[in-house]
Amino acid sequence: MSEPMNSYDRFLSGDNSGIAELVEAYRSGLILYINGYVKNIDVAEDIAEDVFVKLIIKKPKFRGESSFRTWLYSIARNLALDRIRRDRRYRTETADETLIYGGFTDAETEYVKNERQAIIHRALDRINPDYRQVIYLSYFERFSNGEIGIILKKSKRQVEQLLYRAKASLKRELEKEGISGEDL
Amino acid sequence: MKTCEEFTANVLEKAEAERKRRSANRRRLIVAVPGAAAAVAAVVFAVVVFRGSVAAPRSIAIDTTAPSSDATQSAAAHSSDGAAKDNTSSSPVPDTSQISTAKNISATSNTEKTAEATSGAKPSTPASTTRPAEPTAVPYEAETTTLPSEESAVSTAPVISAIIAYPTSGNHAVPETTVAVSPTKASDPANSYPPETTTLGPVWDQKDAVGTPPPGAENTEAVTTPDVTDDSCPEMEQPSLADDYMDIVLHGVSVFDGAAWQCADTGLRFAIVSESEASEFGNYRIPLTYVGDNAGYFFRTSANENVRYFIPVTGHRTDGQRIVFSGVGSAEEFLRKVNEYITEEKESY
Repeated sequence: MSEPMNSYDRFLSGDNSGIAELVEAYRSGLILYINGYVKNIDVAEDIAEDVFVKLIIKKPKFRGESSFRTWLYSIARNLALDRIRRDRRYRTETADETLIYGGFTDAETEYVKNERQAIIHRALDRINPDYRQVIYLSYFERFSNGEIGIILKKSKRQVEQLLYRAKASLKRELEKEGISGEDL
Repeated sequence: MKTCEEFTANVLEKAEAERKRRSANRRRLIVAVPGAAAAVAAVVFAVVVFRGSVAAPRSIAIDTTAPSSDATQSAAAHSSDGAAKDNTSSSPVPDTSQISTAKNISATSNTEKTAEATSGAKPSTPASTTRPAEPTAVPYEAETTTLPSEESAVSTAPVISAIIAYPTSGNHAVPETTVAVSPTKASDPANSYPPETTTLGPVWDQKDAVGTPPPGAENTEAVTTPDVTDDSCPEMEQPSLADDYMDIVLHGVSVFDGAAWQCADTGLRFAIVSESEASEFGNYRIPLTYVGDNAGYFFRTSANENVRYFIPVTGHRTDGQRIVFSGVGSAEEFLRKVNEYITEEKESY
């Protein structure tokens, strides 16, 4: 597959295969990220589609892949929050309902392929949504704290603090599951 | 779960639909603009005419004081017999002989007025359908004769007054101001329709208060005025948000997320966290507004909204990385450090 920015440039020049490559590159991560908000994989998928629709319609300019990914995740977050405001019921679904679904074979499978990762995933689902988001963006998507700040609309320092508290919160949840700090 | 191809196809399909929707919206806008412009022009015209009709109430009043052959205007003008007779008639063409002058009614003593009212001779017609013949001396209610051609100007005058009196800037959510609500008296010689005054709802100054005041509450009521120089709430320890419990949680000023205080005398723990985090701590969630001119923060608790509390200025900031506002010994020092922090935050973003 081409470099994401090359794909995007080709899309801007009218080649729709460019957008297909971008979808392939970012779809799974976006869906997982959005699922952290809406806790419904179908809804997350729907919102992820809307993110790409916005990309196609708006055709924003980027300074590099980092800027591009940050834009995608910012839009994803905004759309997810909009959806939550529109329909609060997604908040009430249980972690099990959102974890057990069929057909998801990409990044999600990697995270839940063994029991320990499943426990981590469940613990992540139980912590505060802000904590979950910052951990996901930092450890799963490998965003820098500055980029996370742009996505979450926080300063770098706030992200650092949030990340610290998120890890502490996750640690407590994992300890409830019988996983101590040494095991991690 | 869709395959990547299905997903991409969906995206392209949605994008096409969105393009069409936007295109249709643009077309609708193009059609709507001339209509909207016409509507705006009509409104502007109406406002100009409307303002013109109420701009010179004094001249209208003078006109009506002059004797006129017209029965309606004569009814509003002076009569010479001085008798306080029934002038409550709402007949379009009143009998001028039965209408007293405003001046005469004004001269009537309260006792006489009472007697007249009791006997039914004195009118009690609402002022909204009347206008003063002599603004400087005539009680408005004395004029009761209907003046159909000028009634609209009279009745709309107070509305205009209210709009003009309303402030257009400032920090007040609901301004404390008096506005004209009805032209009931003519006490101001320079104005034929001086306002009766009223206060518009509860007054709340956002500058030095936080939260939504209870209905009817005013700034001056039930407020614990803090002494910002009093170190009655010094630092005792550095509570950590990881402790999971705070007595009072504040949110709304994101640059302070992670701050925590503990009061020495009460032992209460305060924390400022993001809104979504607030539910994880404590019993109270309080929207917080930074009070720039005061060395600390006012807030209310849900337990007693009538009492404002004050966050101690000598509190201690701590957060996950233990970056603190340490060594704060005075309100001024605290405020300075907070302001520095805010500036730094803004610059680093």
